[in-house]
Amino acid sequence: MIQLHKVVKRFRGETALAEIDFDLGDGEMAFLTGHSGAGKSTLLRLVAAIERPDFGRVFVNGRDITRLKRSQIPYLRRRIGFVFQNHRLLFDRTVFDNVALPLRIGGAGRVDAGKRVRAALDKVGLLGREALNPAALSAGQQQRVGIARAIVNRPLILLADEPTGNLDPELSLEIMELFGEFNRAGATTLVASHDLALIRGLGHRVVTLDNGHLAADA
Amino acid sequence: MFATLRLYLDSHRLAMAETLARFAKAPLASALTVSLIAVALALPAIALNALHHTGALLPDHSIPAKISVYLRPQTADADVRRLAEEIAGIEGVSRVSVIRAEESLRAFRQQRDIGDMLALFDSNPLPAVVEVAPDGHHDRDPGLNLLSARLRNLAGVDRTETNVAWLRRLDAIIALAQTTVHLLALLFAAVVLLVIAAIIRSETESRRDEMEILGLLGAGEAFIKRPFFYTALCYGLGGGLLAGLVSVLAGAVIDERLRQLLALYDNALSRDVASWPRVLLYTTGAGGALCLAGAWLSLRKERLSR
Repeated sequence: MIQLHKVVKRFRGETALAEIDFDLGDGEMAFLTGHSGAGKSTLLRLVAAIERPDFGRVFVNGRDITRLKRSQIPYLRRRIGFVFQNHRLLFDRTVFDNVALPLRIGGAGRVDAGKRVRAALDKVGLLGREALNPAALSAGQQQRVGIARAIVNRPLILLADEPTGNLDPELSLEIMELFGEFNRAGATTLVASHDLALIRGLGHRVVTLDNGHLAADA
Repeated sequence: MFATLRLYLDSHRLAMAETLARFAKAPLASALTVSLIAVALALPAIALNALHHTGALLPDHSIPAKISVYLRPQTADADVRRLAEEIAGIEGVSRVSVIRAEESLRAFRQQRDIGDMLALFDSNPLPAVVEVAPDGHHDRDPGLNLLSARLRNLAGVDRTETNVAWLRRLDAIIALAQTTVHLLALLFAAVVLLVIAAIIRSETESRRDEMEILGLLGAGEAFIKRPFFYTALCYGLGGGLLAGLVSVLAGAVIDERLRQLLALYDNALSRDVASWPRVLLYTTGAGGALCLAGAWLSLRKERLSR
């Protein structure tokens, strides 16, 4: 589902990723780990076409996305659910409206959107909080709103960048287990996290990056 | 096909709803912007409307043009007749009638003040006059002017006068006013355009984070920009409508003054002036179009998604 062939990405001369070869199969789940600045976020951003590689190719669902025109990128992103470290919610609208954003963008009908938003919120344990402003929620709940937003569209691929960065260990485990659930439901899932202790116990593939190089894959 | 259209219309409905919700959240700021646009549009609208009224109230060419050809004093009756015949033969002349000097004198004597004054002269100081009605090709400028000049150059003619001279002067004044008002209208249109471009620019700046998130969630540029176009359109339509109402009210006041003014120019005629629905339609349309253009100016090079 996701393939990187000899991908190089540099930022102002600094190498973020150096000739990375990486393959994540359809329906597979993996954790991407490494110290801060190892290139985890860059790799995720390449898959969502937020960044473009300097060299090499990135394939998503069999398609070479390095050759996508700018106007085609939105269609790629609608197949991908992205969970951000700082969750990136919009605080001028309700939880419901935040989660409904991808559906609005995709053009879902109002009734259908309502059902799917509630189903997504139910999965992350926030049903009944639709009308609240995200600011009224705790950090863990805000992150779960971000996750609900990422899955509401039933994406092929679920990407998460340090989704437990600001959470305590108990909440972190809950969140990671949620990703496991979505993966079992069929989404190819790639989660970047520096929390090795947490992810080692979850039994999924762990890919380690070190200074832009692939250091381990187990 | 039908589903695609529904999707498209739906996205417009959503953008519109979002825009209105945003206005509702900041009613004062929105009202200020609308008022600003209304003032900028009302100024040229009032001026253009006044001009339009002036044009509509003017007698235009419904007063038949006439050239009075004053002959030299003491021209013999026979010469007067000969000249009248000569004039009648000139191209562009439709009809001539002669007012002999004695007839003028008789007419003047009946007016007491002038009559007393005329008594001071030994002989009749009034000239004979040939009244010339020009044909259809010479009843307005430049034909009228040329004919008048030609008549003036005839031997035995002292001077000529057209009854529409004042109208011509007024025309010149109006033409000057028109040019000025059109220039001002252009400038004010530019003001509206630039103000909206600046407002939209600052809105995109303040909502950059939101734009970026929408982009990351798969929104295309058109989707992201659409609410800004609706915002501009709402400002324009609102401002234009308000400007229209203001200029209709102003028009009613100005209209009265215009009638008084034109009455001084012997104008008894008046036609229907621009109807208020048309004024509203024009200002609202102009407001909407200008503001959309302003938004386009502001957004055309902008990339709001990443």
